[in-house]
Amino acid sequence: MDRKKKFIKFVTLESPDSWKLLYYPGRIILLLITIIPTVYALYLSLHYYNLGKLRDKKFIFLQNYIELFQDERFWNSLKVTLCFALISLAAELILGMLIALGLSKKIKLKGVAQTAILLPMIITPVVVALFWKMFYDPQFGNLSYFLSLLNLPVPDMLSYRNTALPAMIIVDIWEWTPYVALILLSGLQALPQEPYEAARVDGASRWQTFRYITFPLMRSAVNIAVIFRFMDLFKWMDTVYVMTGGGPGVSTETLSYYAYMNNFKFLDVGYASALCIVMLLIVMVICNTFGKKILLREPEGE
Amino acid sequence: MRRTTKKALAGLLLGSMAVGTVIPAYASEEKPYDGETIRVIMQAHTTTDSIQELLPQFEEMTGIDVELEVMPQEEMFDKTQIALAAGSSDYDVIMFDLMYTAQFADAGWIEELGPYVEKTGYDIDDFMPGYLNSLSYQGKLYGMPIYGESSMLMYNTEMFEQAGIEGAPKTKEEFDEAVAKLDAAGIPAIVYRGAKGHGMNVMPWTGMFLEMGGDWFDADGNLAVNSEAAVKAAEYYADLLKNHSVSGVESFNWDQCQLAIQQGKVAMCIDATNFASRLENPEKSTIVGKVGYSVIPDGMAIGWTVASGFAIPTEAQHKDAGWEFIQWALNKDSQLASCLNGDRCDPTRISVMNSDEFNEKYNYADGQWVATTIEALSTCPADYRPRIVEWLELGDGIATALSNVMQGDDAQAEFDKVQENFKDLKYPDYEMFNK
Repeated sequence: MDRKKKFIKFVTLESPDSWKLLYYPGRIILLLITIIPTVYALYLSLHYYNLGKLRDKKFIFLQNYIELFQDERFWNSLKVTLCFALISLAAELILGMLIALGLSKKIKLKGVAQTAILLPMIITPVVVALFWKMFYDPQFGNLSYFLSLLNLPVPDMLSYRNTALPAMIIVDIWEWTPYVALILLSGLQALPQEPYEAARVDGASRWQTFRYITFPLMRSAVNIAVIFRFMDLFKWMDTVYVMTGGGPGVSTETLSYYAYMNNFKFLDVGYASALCIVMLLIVMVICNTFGKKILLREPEGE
Repeated sequence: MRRTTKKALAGLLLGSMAVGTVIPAYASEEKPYDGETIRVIMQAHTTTDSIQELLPQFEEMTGIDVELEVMPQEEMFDKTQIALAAGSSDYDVIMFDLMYTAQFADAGWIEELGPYVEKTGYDIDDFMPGYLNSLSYQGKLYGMPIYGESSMLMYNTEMFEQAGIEGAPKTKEEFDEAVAKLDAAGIPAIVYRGAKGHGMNVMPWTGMFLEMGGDWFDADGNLAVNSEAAVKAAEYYADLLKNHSVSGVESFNWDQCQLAIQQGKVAMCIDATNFASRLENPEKSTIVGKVGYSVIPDGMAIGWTVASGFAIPTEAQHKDAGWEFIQWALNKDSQLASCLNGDRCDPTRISVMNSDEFNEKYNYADGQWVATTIEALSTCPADYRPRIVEWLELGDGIATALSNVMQGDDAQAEFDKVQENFKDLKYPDYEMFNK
């Protein structure tokens, strides 16, 4: 009887031990879908493991990593990834902040504006990439059509090394600025009103209000946006796959795309795993040092 | 006591089951695979559409249920490759192209088809030997060709007239002259594949590379992709596209090349023989009846032969039923029907290519097209690109190098880099093209 009661309390989350019920299922799922695959990837990365040549599978310890660090294409993809991530991130933050500030004011048709701005984010990334690829097409694309109406030269963005990456950064900004704006907007709406009243009483200018009140108070929202976007940008792959396939040359080849090539095209699973482990380490280091430090710091309210 | 009755019962049941399975098989010898379900994966293609349309006939005839999965080419290759590598039994029949033959066969992922052909007496002599060859590895047949193509020069006769060029250029000198005349007339001269990929920019370059005296491997079987011919070919390739083509050609795949000539934006195109059916389709093309067909000019490049075929994975569950499907899908009636009902002029059977119906429908430029195609097919080698296990990786290296040359990098340096990256590749058995 007592046992039964205890059990019911346990299941209805009334017993002090009930946390186990909530904790362990999540733990097990996490173990199955994240931790075991990661450990397996680590195991694979220490082997020569090519699906096309399974006969030659063998333990080679750090050979894959050594090769990786001597691989020009790896360093190039790291450079491309960081370049893409940092530029996109900066632009998205600035634009996102402007949009969020705009939307936080009382403006006409605010609801419509909000919905319209969110649209790019809802579209599947592959569809977005296809749409932009068509848009940039020098023969049949919209961009060349409109420019030719104005008698301007038709650019061929995706065919040249210097313009391909910028063209794709524009796509990413178009697609993901709304997401940043959304996070920042929710941050803005949660701001306390008192400091603003005090500032108005003290006769602070608009810029001063933004610089000394809004900005510091917004720091945690900005950080969330930065970390989320950075992780996404760092593993950027779908747009590359659809729009350029890493070309021209390897000028738009990101880490994820290079890993994809190694794994799915060259079937070199060991090498691709090593690359992914390195990617994981980079993201972890950046998010931990950069993210934790700032996230855990109290906002400086003077 | 009980136990014995149980045993007896079991024996009886088993006996009746055995009888039960024997009877239907005996009763309908025509349908030995009745009730089996096979899964087939194919690329989106006019041939596939036609097979899909005729499928109910096959299902009724044999009692085999066919689940056909259709995907775009690249995605389909990715998916089958992974399915095969993982040893999955998902598919009973897959589709692959010649560049995967070595890899799939060497890894033991697909069945050798020789025994199947022998068992059923299938008439493979009617298939074009070049195609069968391209889907064979070390003398053994691994795939049955579904469609195949060679390459040729297609030109816009109207633009040629405007520029004052008489007839198709037959040699490299004539070709360069034609390009100069088109330049003078302000007409973009030529398009071919410029996008990065082992089946994209590598295709036209390889033709020039081999024609200019290059070979993938030297006499000792060592890789030789930084030879003088390779560099010369790359420079020639890049010059034509950069200075004598339409804008954006650097990222053209074959589809965009086809569009460019089909919409009258360029005078010449060197690409697949099967472009013709779309260039001559009045619903899609603006240059119907204004296209000339000719073999690729001598001294400029050689043409390719490629083929895609059906194979049976080693891990498949219904191999015989799968073979039944392959035989039907590629028989003369099916191929002819797909050629006559759709825009599809790349059959793999000689009898179809020679049939009156086929020649009547695809009588482009007064038979010029059929004649050129047959000539191209008989001269172009299957080992245009080396069918080796490491091809995808090597092909990607060449594609990247070419793409860089197009951006203005030094060709010698780029190809030296490829050579250095793959210096361990050794194929002493490689049959040299320029002996």
